[in-house]
Order: sequence, then C-alpha cells, then structure tokens
Amino acid sequence: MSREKEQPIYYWRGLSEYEQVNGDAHSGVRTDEFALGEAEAPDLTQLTSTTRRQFLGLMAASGAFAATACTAYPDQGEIVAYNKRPEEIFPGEPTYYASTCSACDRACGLLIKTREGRPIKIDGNPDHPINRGKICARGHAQILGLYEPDRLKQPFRIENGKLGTAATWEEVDGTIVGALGNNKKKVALISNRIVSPTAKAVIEQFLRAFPQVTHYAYEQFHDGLREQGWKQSYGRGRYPLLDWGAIDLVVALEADVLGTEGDFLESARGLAAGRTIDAIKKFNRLVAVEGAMSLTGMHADTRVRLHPSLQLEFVLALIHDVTVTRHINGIGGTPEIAAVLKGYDLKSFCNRYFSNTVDTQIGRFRRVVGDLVTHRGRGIVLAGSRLPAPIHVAVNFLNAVLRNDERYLTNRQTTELVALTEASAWIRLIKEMNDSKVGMVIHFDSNPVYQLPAALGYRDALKKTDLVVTLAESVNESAMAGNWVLPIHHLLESWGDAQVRSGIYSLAQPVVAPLQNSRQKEGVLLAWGELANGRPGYSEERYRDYLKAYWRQTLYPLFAAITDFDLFWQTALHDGVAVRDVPVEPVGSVRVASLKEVVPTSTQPVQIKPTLLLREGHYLRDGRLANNGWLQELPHPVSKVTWDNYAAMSIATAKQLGIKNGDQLVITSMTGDVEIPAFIQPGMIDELVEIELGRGRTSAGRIGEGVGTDAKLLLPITQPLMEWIVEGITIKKTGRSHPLVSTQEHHAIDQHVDHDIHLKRQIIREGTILSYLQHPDLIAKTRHDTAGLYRDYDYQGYKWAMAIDLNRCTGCGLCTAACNVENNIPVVGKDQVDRNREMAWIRIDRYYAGNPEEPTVSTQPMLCQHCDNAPCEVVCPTAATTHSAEGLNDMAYNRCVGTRYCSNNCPYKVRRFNFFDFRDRVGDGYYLNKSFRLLNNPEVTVRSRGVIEKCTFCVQRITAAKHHAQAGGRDVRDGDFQTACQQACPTEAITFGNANDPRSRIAKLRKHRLGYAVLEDLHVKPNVTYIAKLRNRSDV
Amino acid sequence: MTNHAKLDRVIKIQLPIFLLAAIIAGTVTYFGIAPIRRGIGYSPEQPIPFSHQLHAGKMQTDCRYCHIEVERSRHATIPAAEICMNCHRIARTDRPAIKLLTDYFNRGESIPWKRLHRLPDFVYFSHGAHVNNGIDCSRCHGPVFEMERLERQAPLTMGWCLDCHRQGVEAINHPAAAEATVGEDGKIYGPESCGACHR
Repeated sequence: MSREKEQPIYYWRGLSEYEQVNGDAHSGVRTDEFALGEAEAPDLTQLTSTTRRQFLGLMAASGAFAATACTAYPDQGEIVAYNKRPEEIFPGEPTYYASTCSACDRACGLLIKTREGRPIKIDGNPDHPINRGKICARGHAQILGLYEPDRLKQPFRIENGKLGTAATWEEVDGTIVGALGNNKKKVALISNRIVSPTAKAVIEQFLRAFPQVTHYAYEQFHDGLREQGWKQSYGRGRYPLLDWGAIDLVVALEADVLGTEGDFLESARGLAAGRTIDAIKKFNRLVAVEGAMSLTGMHADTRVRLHPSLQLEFVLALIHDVTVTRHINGIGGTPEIAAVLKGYDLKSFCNRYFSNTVDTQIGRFRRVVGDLVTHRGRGIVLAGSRLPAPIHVAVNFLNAVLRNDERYLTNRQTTELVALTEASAWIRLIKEMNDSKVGMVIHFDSNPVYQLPAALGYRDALKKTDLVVTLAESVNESAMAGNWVLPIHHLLESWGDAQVRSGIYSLAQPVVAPLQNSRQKEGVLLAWGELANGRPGYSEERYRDYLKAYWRQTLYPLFAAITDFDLFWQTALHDGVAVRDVPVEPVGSVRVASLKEVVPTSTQPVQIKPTLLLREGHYLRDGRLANNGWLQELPHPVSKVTWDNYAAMSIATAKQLGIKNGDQLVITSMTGDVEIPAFIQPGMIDELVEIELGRGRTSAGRIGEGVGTDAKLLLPITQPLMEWIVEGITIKKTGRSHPLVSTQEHHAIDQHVDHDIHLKRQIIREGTILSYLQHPDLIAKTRHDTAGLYRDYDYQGYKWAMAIDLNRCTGCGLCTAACNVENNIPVVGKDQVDRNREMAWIRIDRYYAGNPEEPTVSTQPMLCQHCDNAPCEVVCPTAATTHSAEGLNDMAYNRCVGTRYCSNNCPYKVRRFNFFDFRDRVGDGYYLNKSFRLLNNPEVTVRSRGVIEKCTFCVQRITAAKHHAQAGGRDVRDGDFQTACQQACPTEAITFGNANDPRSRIAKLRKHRLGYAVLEDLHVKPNVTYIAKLRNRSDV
Repeated sequence: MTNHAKLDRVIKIQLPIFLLAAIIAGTVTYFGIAPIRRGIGYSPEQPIPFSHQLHAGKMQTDCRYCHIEVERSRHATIPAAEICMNCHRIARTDRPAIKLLTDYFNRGESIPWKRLHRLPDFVYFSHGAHVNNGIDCSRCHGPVFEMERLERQAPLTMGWCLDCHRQGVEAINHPAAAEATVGEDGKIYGPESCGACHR
C-alpha cells in the first residue's frame, strides 16, 4: 500500500507561534521536527564493511568469552587484619581523645572520636569547665579541614601570586635561616592571638635567638573595647567572668550572648539553666536592646530596637532613672550623679529621639528600669564587645549602682597571655615596610592580608618586603602575596596547650599522624633557632618534648600535685584539661569619677546617620574556615541565608531607598567601598546596615573562593586596631542583582496566605509566664485528641521518643552542624539550595509574628517526627520505610527506588531526596575526593543518587547503646547515650530516651502540660513533643 | 508462498520448543547452582594453610582467643599476626607454614587472608548482639573446629537470617536482650524491623 503524501495541518498556540510558522521568520524546527540532515536517507557508501550478521556474531562470541572468565563468583575478596594491632584500637569500637580547639581564640575543650585510627567526629569535652561538652559549629565542622584536598602537601614557592614550584623543607629551612642570619633588617612575626603558654615561650625563645624579630598579634574580633572600659571604671584588672547560672535578668545591649558574644557556649548554658520548666516561677528574663537582629534578640523576652549611636545616652538615662528617680544607689552620692547626668533623664531621652512615640518608649524603658531594680544584685547589664568604650564605662557604673557586681565571679579570671598589638604599632610597621626597612615577614598561621583593615595598606606594603613566608594549612591571601608558603599541621595532628582563664590549662594532642608533609608550626620556629646554631633541624618529637618540659618546669609546680609529673601529665592528656584554684584579686569599687568622664561634652542631640555595624560571621567568624562546605551551607540563624553574606537593613530603610532583596548595593565608608547584596531583615532599626565579615575570600580553596563579599574594606583603623561601628556610610543601588539563597522564604511575612500560618496551624504554641500561671491548661487545651480506624500498636520494650524544649532552643543551629557530621550529609552547593534541595536532616524553622518592624520571633527545630501513624510509610511502593517495633521510622536505602511519594506525603517536609550524588557537583567534584571517605562515619550508610534520607533518631547510636547494655547484662538506662543533636545542643533543649521507662526524663516531658506536637490534628501521632515557649514578659 | 510455510514452521514449532528449552535450562541452572551463587562450599586457598581443626578442634582453643572483638563489637575481627606469634614465637618454628607466618610478622606486613563471609555494605550485622544472646559460632559458620581448610557453610541471605530470627533461641541466663524480644515461650526472637540491620 502506498501512502499519499497528505498536506500537513499546522496548529498554533498563539500569535507569536503563528508568525513563526507562517511569517517570514520561518524557523526550520517548527515545520520539520528533525534537525537538518537527520531525516535524510543514510549514505550507503559511508558505512563500515562489517555486515550486521558479522557484528552480532562478534558480540555473542565476546560475550561468551567474558562469561567463561567469570569463574570465581563466590569470591569475596580479601580480609586484611593488623600485623600488630595498636593497643588502643578496637576494630568496630571508637576510641576517644581529648584535645583543645584552635579555630578561634576561645580554646574550648574537645573530645575527638576516632575509628580505627581515623578521627571522624569532634564534640566538646565534657570535662572542660568552660564549654562542658559543647562546641560551636566551627568546632564540629573543622574536621573536614583535616582531609581536604586543598591542604598544602608540601612547601611551595609563590610565583606571580600563584603556587609555583614545590620545594623541600631543607630548601626552605636553608633560605630562611640564611635570611635570618645575614639580614639584619627588621623581621615581623605576625600571628593571631596567642593563647598557648608554650607557644608564647617558643616565640619568646625565637625573639631571643633573632633579636631583629618583633612579634605582632591581631584578631578581627576581640574584647578590647570592653577591657578598655573596665580599666577606666576600675583602674586596673580585667573584665570579670559572670556567674551565669545565678543571674535572673540580663539586659543585653547589642550583645549576642546566645550567639557569638564571648564564651557563648557558657552563657547560653547558664541562661538556659535559669529557664527550666520544673521551676517556671524562677525563669530568668532576657532583655535585648539592639539595633540589629541577633539570636539573643530573637529569643529575648523583651526586645527594644535602638540605634547603636544612642546606646550611650540610653545607658545614662537608665543610670539616671535608677539612681535619681528610684533612689537605688549601691555606691552612694546620688546628688553628684544627678548633677553629672543633668538633661540625661529618661523623659528627655525619649523626647529627644522618639518624638513620635514618646509615651510608648517611656513606658518600655521604665519597664526595663523596673526589671533592673527588682532584680538588683541578681542581674547584669551587658554591653556588646562592638560598642565603644564609653558605653562600657557607663554600663559598669550602672551595674555597680545596682550591686550587680555581686554576679562577678571571684574565683576565676580571664587571662591574656600576649597583648594584641596596638593600631599605632601597626601603622609604624606598615610605614617601615613601605620604606623597605623590613627584611622579612613571617605569617605565623595568620592571614593579615585578608583580615587586617584594608585601609592599613598591608598588602601593598608586603610588596616592598624582601622575603614573605606564610605558615598555613592551605593557601590563603597572605600566602599568595608572599614568596613561600609552608604547610603546618591541622589541629588534629598537633600538640599544643591553651590558657584563657586563670587556673585552667588545656592540652591538645594529635590523634593522627600527619597526613601531608606538614610540620608543627611551633616546631618550625624551634627548628630555625636550632639550625641557626648549627644543630639538627626539625623533628616531630621536638615540640612535644618542649611542651612536656614546659609543663614539667613551669606549670606542674603550680599544681602542688600529689603524684609525680608523669602521672600528672598522662592524666592531663587524658582529661584534656588540668584545673586548679587561683585566688583572684577582688574587683574593688568603681571609680565614681568615671561617669563624668563619659558623659558627652556636647549638649547637641546625637545625629543619627546611616551606620554600618560589622559583625563576625555566625559560623565563619573571621573567615578562617571559609573553605568548609558544611559551614558555608549552614543557614544563617537569623536570616537563613546560605553561601553568602549581605547587607541587612530594616524594611523602612529599604523602602526609603527603593531596595529589594538581592539588589546589589555599593556601601561606601571613609575607608573604601564594597559591593554587596541587600537583605531586608525584619526587626532591624532604621538607618543601620549590618554586614558579616568572613566571606569574600580570594584564595581559600575551591569551596570558599569567591563566595560572598569581603567587607573589611570598610573597617576603619582606630585604637585598638579594630572598630566595628562605622558612622556616615552611603548606600547606593548598582541596578544589578545578586540573588540570595535562603532556606526559609524571603517573604515570610509578606504573603497574606502565609501570614501567621504557624499560629493558625498551631505549629508554634506559646504563652507568657503570667498567662500560664493563671491558666495552667493554656497549652493543654489546644491538644487534639484524634482517633483512627485502626488499633494502636502496643509498644512493649523500648519506645524511642524525643522532646524539644522551645524555652531553651535559641535557634543556634549547632544541632544541624553535629547531625551533618554524624550522618555523612553531603554539601549540595548554592544552586541546589535555591531549589530547596539542602540535605540537612534537622533544620531550624524560624517564624515571625506580629508587626514586621518589631516582630516576635519563634524558632523550632524540625526533624523527622517518627510518627506512629506515619503518612510516609503507607505510600512507599517498595516498603523501603517502615515502622520498627520500638517506634522508630526505619529507612532502608537499598529498597528505595526514588518515587518520592513519601516526601510528598510528609506534612513536615523533613524527607530529603538525593537528586544527585551532589558530591560530583559542588566545587567540580571536590567532595568526591577519596580523602573524604576517611571522614565518613562507618556506622551510617553513605547515600548515593536516587534515595530518600531523613533523620533516623541516630539509630546507629541507639543500636550501639543497646548492644553495650546487653553486653553488660542490663537494659539501656536513661542517659546511656545521646543523639548527635542532643549532644551538640548547648542549652540541653533536646531530650531523647525511652518513653516506656517511667523514670526517664522523656516520659515526664511527653506528658507535660506544656507539651504539644506539631500538626497532631492530622492523626500522624508524632513522637517528638515540643515544650511550648513561655515568654517572661513583664507586660502580659 | 514458500516464505509463509517457513515462517509458520519457525513460529509454531521451533520457537516454542526453543523457548521451553531455554526456560527449563535457566530455571534448573538457577536453582541448581544456588549454593554456588550464595557461596556455600566456597573454600579458597589461604596464604598460610591455617587449620581450624588443629587449633579450635584438637587443641580446643576458644574462638574468642583469636577473634577478640566478637563480644564487644559488631565485627569479630580476624586476628592480628601478633596473636599467632603469641605461641608461634616458640611453637613449631621448624614448620614451613610457621616460617611463612614469621616472615609476614617480621616484615610488618598484614596477612592477606581470603575472605569467606561477607555481607553487602547496606547490612550492618553485629556479632556482639548474637554472641551475647548465647548463639554459638558454629550455628552460622558451621563446624569450624572440624575444618582443615575453612569452608563457607552459611548462605548469608536475608531470608536465612530472618528464618532464625523467627525461630528463636533458648534464652540463656541473661536479664536483657538488645533488639530481641522475649516471647511467651521464654525464647528469644530476633528483630524483624528493617532498622535493626539496614541503616
């Protein structure tokens, strides 16, 4: 049969298509579905000579050959045991070591979990008195840095700002020792803050060996202004430590005590201890007075927005109200104070700056004063470390007036082993460098090119220096601006010690032999000194022996220990810390004259200009760990933005300037300008922009380079070198945009459908203490009693459940950080986060409620609820997810075919799908590198593309605990083990355990009057109980 | 016309016969070699001719003397060469096998034993959980103390594991059992939930 060629009919969906088909612009693709050339008959002369029959025969023959070669089907490979088993390694069981963190200068204690000699997890050391088993996100994530391919494998020359030829250590040693010997020009040794007593001794020895060397130390974030204020208030001494557990009221002035201020692990723990639901009437109160939105502000019972420029007058107004109006004065001399503070009373303050809302503001501030007075002697006013010194002086005065100095600890003090270098010394150094008077600069594990204020002109000054050597783990900006870069050990390969408080000495020990041809940085300095005197150079043991000798000679005698040094040393290494009591000089009384010194001389009201507030990156801090994918992807606790920093500003300021989220702005200050995308942050005060430092690195490794913006161009140079509040900036739009990726909707408040959805669906149920005391069934009456068609399963034996106390949760995100490490969670990259494909198994949901300018913020960790009536389990076509007899929702990855029906059905959206391997995408396959396999937790499957994953309640830890208990002949007891999130939470907000054990904490919390479950009206019967947050507001 | 007759013959007679033969052959082979597929009877030659019959059988050395982690950990562990040298520093040093062993030990090299029992990566089996419930090694590994050269007796399929979990074992004088549940008949039954082994 022949087919007649029919006339084709063209259908078009719209005018533009019509034009395309019938008009002059005739695109061949529309009429001809095949590309040019494809629909033509093949050219037979171009075919190969093999016929089809020959080809099939060949395939069958090779197939047969291949099949016969498969003889050893049952071959299971080899099993290779130790030749000599190291006595501390038990295959299958972890071995733990204590160490000390060096990711910042707080030197918290670490507990490192190793499996068969590989470190796989870092947690806080429970025996360390400061952090007590908790560690920040950098502490958790820095283990990635040990196995990074971007680590330097050997010394390198730097040629034209890039890594040049490799060099041997002998070459390096020879060159540098030669330069130190011959060159009598000045040498600068630049480091971050030195917190290690032994490192300090090494540097001092180095300085003695080479007198032309001067040591310079800097930190991008420090307490210098607060210490300065203290000296002015008390004449001597250091700012005291606070008795956090005994504090009833905290008034935090631009101080993120729950997030980044000071030892926040300690302050968060102390403040959480005062918020236990067993003693609701004794809840402490947190008042935040700040311009930018911080974690503390989000969690505060009362939050007042105040521009940083007004903080000084605010504190003066508080002092006036407390002493003159309320007649509370712990130091005496009220008439003098009244005279000094004339015109700085609360009413005048409000009239001057809040002319539209005088009465509201007066009411608010009077309540703050009321709190201060009620809790005098048991409260504290805390000024953030970024505020200028006069505010700290005023705050010290206020605390003294209120007798809050009783909260200062009298048995322990902070110590500063080596003072940070003053700005004037830095300026002198730069001048000397520019005058070619500096022969050599040694960057001792520091990155001043990236971290010093750009206005200093450090990078350009380096060009005039003859020899610049950088000791670092991987490339950084300072290395690239120099001549040599020398690899040093990662923390987990290093010996060391630290002292940040009187009487507390912590130790760091290596848990793995050096993976690269790197050296201990203190050992390098020691070796150079030895080589200069013709003695043998570097050895791994030298610094360890030096450290041990230092402890034996200098520290051990202080302890008056009852054992000999060797036992003392072993115990200190085992515990990670040695503690002794040290008498502390009493604080004394405040200088009454200090108040007058800080009252402004000018009587003009403060002009509020657009101001820039620079802050440390929540997780990245000063950017040292910018190459860490986990840290880059951890959503910012306030804005939930990943992989970027931004200029945060208030809704009103953005509206005034016509700025939308993601608009690329140019922010100009006296010292320079930066281009940075805008982010509209509810709750910020107007005329204020906040930018986080720590991003925008240009030489950090494949993950961290080019991510975000480097804002240090805006840092001014003042005493003591850093200042973080810059007044008088200008903000301009460039017209371009830089989309910011946030794991939470940008427009969380704008949409009228989403507006307050968390309140309508009762996802967040909150109250105040007063309302709860009046109506104890405040939360209980909101519970849903649902009934189903099927009989409930009778859970005998263990029934695992979790409770999250929202009174204690600060939204810090450390649970997410720990879970990522424990469960081998992949980094997905910015573009995938944009598609909602971030893989974190636990996330912190943040909800705003109320007025967008001054919202109430609630945070809620959300993870798999392990529902007893799980909607995900019934829809899996392959039964990959089932419910265990102990209440756990199990996930069998090998059965999953990737239907994603379970994720679709999950009302909490906690099921994550591996759309890709992800490791093959981020940083061009950076995480595919074999070295990262060493980091994986061997007890948790590493998921590949195409399977769903979700929180397992750390089933690997549950099983291990059960096996250990069984081996010991008993049941699992409450507290035998913790899930990773529970272990990481600094405020102990997460409780996990066996709900069938009547004595366990979880059994009590599940039945608590304040407990509720999210979306329980769906009759999914979740096993996570949330304890409702009660705000301690003085105004109900 | 001849084309149709040929086609008819092929379709109506030859094809069904061929298919039937293929199916029968495939099925018989598939089930017939099941033990080979699952590895039962697999007995590879080891680098050192270690005899369990001599050590575990005649000399009655306890399994746990060498496989030290079996009560504490998920893995039973193959003994380090050091453990062999505990005795063989002195015992039978004249034998060629011992000389081979001593050679490995002195060189600091691990002995590359051929592996017999291996579970897929997505199975997390725990020796400790089973041993501490009183299950003898020979129950899964067969009469090892009678084997001159070790031979695999266990199919290690999921069905085989679950059969035993469902059959239960006598409870030994032990107050607790980890994942297991104690039935009304006093026997201990292994877990059947997925998360017990697949995580």
